[in-house]
Amino acid sequence: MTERCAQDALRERALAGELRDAEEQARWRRHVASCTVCRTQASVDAGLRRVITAVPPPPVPAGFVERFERRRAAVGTSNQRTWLRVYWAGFTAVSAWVLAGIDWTRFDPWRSVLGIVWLGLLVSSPLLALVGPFRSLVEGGSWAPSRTTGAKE
Amino acid sequence: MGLSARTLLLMVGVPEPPLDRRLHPDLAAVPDADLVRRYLTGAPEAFTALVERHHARLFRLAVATLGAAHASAAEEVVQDALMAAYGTLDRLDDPSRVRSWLSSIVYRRAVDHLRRPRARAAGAEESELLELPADEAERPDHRARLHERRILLERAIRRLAPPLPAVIRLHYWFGCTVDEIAVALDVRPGTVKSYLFRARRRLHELLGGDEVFSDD
Repeated sequence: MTERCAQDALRERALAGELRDAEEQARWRRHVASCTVCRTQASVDAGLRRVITAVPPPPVPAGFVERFERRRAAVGTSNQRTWLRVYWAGFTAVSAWVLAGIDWTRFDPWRSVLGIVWLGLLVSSPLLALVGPFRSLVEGGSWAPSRTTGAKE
Repeated sequence: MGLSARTLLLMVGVPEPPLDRRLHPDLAAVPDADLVRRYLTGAPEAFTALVERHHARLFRLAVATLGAAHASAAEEVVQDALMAAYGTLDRLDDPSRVRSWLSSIVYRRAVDHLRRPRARAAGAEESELLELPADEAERPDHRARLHERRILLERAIRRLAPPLPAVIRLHYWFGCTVDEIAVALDVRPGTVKSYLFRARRRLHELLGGDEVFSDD
């Protein structure tokens, strides 16, 4: 079978059922009778329509949007995620500043209530990002294209 | 930024509202780009309105990409894709392109799903999934032959290179036009026509000798 046919446009319109003009339909019939490429394409097109539609495609599951809404509600809004990131960034910066300023020869966090609370926050804060509702709140979704580009050729 | 009463009810598991009722009928006529802008300014219901508008089309795209053997995973793929989009919508450069952006996420996730070894192993047999609907008037032998051809066709479609399987299923199974497929795959209509040409030619090579497409 040759690669191409000069009547590509006519064939695609014919297979899409777009030939309304009687003269054009006659031209297509004459062409398909003499062109192997288009005859094969038309034959497969007709067969596909007949065989593939023998089984109807699955319908959209009922309650789809409600299930999405439930997941979305559990994740939080974009603003909430932004504030959470701001909180963690601030907490990390303050911790780094405090750590850098501590005189470790004189400071014993285990004897200070404030020190214990601070250490607890220091340890639990990143852990919270890895577990439970905080994880989904921070991620909001694990992957998406960074730009508007989609499935490319 | 507070949670609405409806959202709270959904979170605690109150029964779902009737399925034919839109969750946000007031947003039904708002253009896509405006819904994106509203969402980015702190209105999460605008994203749900986008989902209401596009979920059926996205589900079709997922089923078309996954094929019959993996169609049961289509909802999970689309839900995950929508959650990913929900978390990253602020990266979208042009809000008017949100439709094709959502399609591209669904398509890529469906393709990723097919690549997973666990998903490949979990794929059901076509013979179980491609049961013909009941038709008393049809002769049993004709019906059995059609069923067999449908299974052979599905296997041949699976052997096509991406995105040809999705293009073929969208066009012939779901009845999508060339323009609709072009939007779904974010390509030009001429490219879709080229895909269809290549897919039909390849299917003829794969199945021509099996008389899958004969009239009988």
